[in-house]
Amino acid sequence: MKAYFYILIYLLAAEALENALQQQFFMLAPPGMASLFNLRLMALAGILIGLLRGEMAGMTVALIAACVQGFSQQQPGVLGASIASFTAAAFLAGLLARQLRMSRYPTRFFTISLLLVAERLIWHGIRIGFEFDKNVNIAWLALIFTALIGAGLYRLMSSIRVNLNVQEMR
Amino acid sequence: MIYPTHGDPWRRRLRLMMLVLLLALGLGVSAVEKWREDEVRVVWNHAYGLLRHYLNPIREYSYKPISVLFRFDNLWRVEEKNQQLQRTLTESRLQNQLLTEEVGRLRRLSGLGHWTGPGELRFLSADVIGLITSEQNAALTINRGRLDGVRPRDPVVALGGLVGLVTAASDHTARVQAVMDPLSAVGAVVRESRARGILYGQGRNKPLAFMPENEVQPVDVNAVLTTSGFENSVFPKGVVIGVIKDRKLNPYGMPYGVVKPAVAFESLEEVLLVLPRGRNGRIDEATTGTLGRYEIGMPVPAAFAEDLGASHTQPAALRENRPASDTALGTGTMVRLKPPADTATATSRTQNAAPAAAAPPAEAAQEASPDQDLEQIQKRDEEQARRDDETTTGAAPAQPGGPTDDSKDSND
Repeated sequence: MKAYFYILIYLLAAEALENALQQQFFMLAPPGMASLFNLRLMALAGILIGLLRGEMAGMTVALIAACVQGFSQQQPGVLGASIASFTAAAFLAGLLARQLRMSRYPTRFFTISLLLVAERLIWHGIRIGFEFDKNVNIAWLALIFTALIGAGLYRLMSSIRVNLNVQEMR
Repeated sequence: MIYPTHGDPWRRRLRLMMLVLLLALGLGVSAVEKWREDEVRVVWNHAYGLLRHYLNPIREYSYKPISVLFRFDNLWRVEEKNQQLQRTLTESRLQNQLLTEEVGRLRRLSGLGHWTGPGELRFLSADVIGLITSEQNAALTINRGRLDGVRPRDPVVALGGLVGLVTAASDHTARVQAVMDPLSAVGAVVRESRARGILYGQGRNKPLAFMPENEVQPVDVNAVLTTSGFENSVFPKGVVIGVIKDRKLNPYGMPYGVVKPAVAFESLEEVLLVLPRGRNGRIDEATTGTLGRYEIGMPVPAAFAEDLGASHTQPAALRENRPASDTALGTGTMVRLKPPADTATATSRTQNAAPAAAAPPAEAAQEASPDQDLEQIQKRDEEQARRDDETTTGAAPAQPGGPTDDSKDSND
């Protein structure tokens, strides 16, 4: 129950921040620093739940986040790419959660950074494949900033974490 | 394989199947988005309409803390804009000050341009570049010198009237002794009564002293003094010097008039030198000392025109786009001092003077002058004698501005 509550709160906050307030942050940003606020908080939802609760929960949350993201953007080429990239990243997060302990902040940061990069590559791969985009354009600063936020949120949401290896042994 | 081998294989297969299904879903949706764009937009809009119903309240709530940031950001931007505007305002004020000064200077120069004189004379404008400020002296330095044709004893006038006399000239500058200088003495006449006398300077910030030639003739308060214009006078005839504001007795019991100068010496910035037209910088010709036979017209500031009480007309150039009350710069009104009929035709405007056209009447006037001068001197002596008789017998003096005044003016 607690997990659902966390997920709901996170998704709503992430949607508001990423889709409604991001433009405002762009305006507030100093010149040349606007890309700092191009956060990937919706993608981070599936990754975080994948790290905390495993692949299935992560992919479910990623699917919901992708639907919210896709419908909010209201432009072709977002929903499909979001579903594929978010769920793939969430699945990879679950896999890594079984191998890594994630007890230290740098480990979480680098893991989440890696997963975000993978998510971005899948996203751009699909969009380039379907000719929605022509080249890969990754806001690296925003990815690092998102990973820093994700590493902190992992610590805050650690109460919903399950031991995936023990669960697998049942 | 990174998967643990000791787990439930069905769960692993289920997760892999889920991943494959979701990837297939994503690719399928992307394909539909690609090839059914219009239908997708309609469906997405409907879906977002349902979603927006729940998301908008959250967006509004989340916007509130952001709006505080916006207020700070706006304050910062307003502060930055304010500083920029203050810089612009300072620059604009400086430019405005410079332009105002330049406009004032141009207006003063425009007023100087309305001096009129016969074709034999020319006016040379000069800037005052220095003041000698001791109590014993009243002198100024101008930026015209010998190379401009300036020589010692050249008269200097300004917008209000007479300024003084050039006492020394270098190549590029000249020193002007103002009429307020204690060593200055100018032959003057009362414009209305034609009473002659000498005007002495008493030093800076002190009034002039008018000593009438005729000791028994009363000094009229508010009478206007002009240069006498005698044949050997340094100064041209008819230049206003000042107004008698009071009469007093000197230690010897002789009456004298306290005269307010027509020119504000302390605020003088531009002056006009009255030079013979034939002289230039390379010909060392001493022609001064004979300018008294010429009469020149002069513009007078409106504030001082009231003291003069003369009939004044306003030049067209000053009437255009300029309020009549604009006297701060001293170019409001031009006063003509009733020039004689014969010399009035010989005058020419300095600013657009055509020497060739103006010279013949002036020459004719000068050629006719010896005979006329003799008659005029005789008439003047008769008038003076008659006036003296009236004064000694207690009769009222002739009213200024009457018919006899005109004849006297033309004779003088």
